[in-house]
Amino acid sequence: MNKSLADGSHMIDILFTLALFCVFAASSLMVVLIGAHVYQSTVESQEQNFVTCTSVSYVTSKIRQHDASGAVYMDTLDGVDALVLEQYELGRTFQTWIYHHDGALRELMTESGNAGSVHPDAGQSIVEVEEFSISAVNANLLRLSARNDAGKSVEIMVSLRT
Amino acid sequence: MRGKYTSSKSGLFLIELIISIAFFAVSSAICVQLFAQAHTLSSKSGDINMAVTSAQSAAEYFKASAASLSLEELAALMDATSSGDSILVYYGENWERLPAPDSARFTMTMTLDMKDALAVADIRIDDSQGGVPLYQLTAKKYIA
Repeated sequence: MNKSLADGSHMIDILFTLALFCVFAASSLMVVLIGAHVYQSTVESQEQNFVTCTSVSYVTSKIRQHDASGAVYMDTLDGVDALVLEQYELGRTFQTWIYHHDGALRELMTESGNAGSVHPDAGQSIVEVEEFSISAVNANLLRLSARNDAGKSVEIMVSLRT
Repeated sequence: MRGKYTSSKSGLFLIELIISIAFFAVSSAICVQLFAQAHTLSSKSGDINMAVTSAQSAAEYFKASAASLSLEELAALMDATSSGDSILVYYGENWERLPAPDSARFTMTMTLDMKDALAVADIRIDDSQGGVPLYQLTAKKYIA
């Protein structure tokens, strides 16, 4: 009788310890999962900010860099809406075409008059972005908007000084 | 003697486990607090990013507008509402534009002022959940 009582008490000791260990394991797993979730959401948010804000900031800087009289205007490159930035170097006029094609913001530089012979695929990919649009609000105000694959969009206005 | 030894061993293991769990509980409480802070900081940084973009856009509207443009006309160009000498733009939780202040979390206030030939626009973005302005920007332009 005493032996069986002692065995029962021993069994409870083991079960209690095991249960405690299970609680410990479950709690540690939960903390790791919460951490992973927070890290994932932080990285996703930074990625979203990077994709949208970087593309918009890049185009804004390019516009500022080329902001001369008549040097910034909208055109189409093989049917794709594009922003054209012109610069005059060594007696020749060069055009920088910035447009969205095939899931990326692209940039292409050609000598003036050669744009008709190039395909949008030839442009250098700057950043992969789901949607990017450039439109003219009026003669000296451009609207840039970018949207990433998570659906987050950023819109910024750029005024032309010239 | 043997039973006593086994019981004492089991008790020691239990104490060890309890100490480990207590240590883990304290560490996990600190970790969860840090995770919460990281999440708050991340969302605040996203909000500041959007606030900077919105304030810059408002400044660009101001810079691009003609000298003769009235406050109401500028507000109409920005698709915003004008109140007194200010232009107000309302944003929701995810920075979507809202037509009215109801349920708006962020409010952009653009105040225009004239100092001789200098037009000054003070742009401020407030968060209804925070006491201090999220972002402030001053844009100036000469009017010939």
